[in-house]
Amino acid sequence: MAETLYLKIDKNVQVKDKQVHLKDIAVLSCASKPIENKVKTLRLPTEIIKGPGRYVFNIIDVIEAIEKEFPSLEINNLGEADFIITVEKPEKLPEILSWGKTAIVCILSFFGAAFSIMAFNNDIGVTTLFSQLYETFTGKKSNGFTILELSYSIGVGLGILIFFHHFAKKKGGTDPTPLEVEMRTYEDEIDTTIIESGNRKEQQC
Amino acid sequence: MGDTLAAVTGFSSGFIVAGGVVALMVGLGIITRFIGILRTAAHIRASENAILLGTVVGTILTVYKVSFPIGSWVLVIAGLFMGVFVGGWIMALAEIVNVFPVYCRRLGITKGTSWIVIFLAIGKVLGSLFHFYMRWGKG
Repeated sequence: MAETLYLKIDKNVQVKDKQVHLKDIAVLSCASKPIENKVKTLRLPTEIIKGPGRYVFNIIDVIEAIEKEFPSLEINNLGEADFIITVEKPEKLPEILSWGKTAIVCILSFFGAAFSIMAFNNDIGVTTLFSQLYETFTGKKSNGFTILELSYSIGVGLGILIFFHHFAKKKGGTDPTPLEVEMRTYEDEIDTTIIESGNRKEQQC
Repeated sequence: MGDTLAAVTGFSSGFIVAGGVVALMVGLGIITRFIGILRTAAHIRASENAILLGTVVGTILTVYKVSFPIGSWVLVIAGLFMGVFVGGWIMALAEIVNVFPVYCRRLGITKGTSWIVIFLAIGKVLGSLFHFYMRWGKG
């Protein structure tokens, strides 16, 4: 009776080395442990990998590589049909440098945010509207810098912090912050784009 | 005849504009975001009523220019909540075009992303205060 091998590969797998073994990228399971262990040490056909970068692979290539060694094995793919292998750069940025980059983006965000709120307030005529509101509620003429403008300005900052759920406790039970969700969504879309444009290139050849 | 036409025009404009305003607020996901953070999804009808009430009151205040002298304490509360809403609004606009994920990835930001949000918020507060203090945007 033929053994069944279950195979699951994620959409985007990170590896450190150019030589990729199946155990680095896939979760495998087989009723016969000797076969499972042998499959784990199989090498992936990695001729297209040249240095760090992202490479699109097809599950068929993996299945063919396994079938070459184990012709009678029944293979059941539970993961993606196409997947990306990201070969990471070996050297990592020093701690100080990556904090430095964050500092630059912080300064950028600070001045950019200050500019854009001023442009926004000008654009939708907040100043005029606020003096109208001030007159409506107090009956007095606004001098242009009243309690209304002050509380609005503080509110803007508060709104941003609430919007990004900033002071939520980082515990396992809480939801990821919206920025984290956005980041994941964006990375997922990038992976899909890479896979699909990779497929298109193959068809053209 | 003229009055009837004006009434029909007014009613139709209000009908269409209301759709646009609510679509903008709901479509940007500001209100859903606040509801999600405060976990008040069970009382979503109350939020809908509040949107309706706020839109009607805002319309009456701007169209009829009614005098409503309650005192400046209303302005503190109103200003604060208007600010919170606008803060969420502008961040939602920035999010539509994926500003933050794109920059974080392009520049390879790995450390301290939460500081970016804090600096963004401080920048908005100081920029807004400066803008009003200089009395810019008047006429």
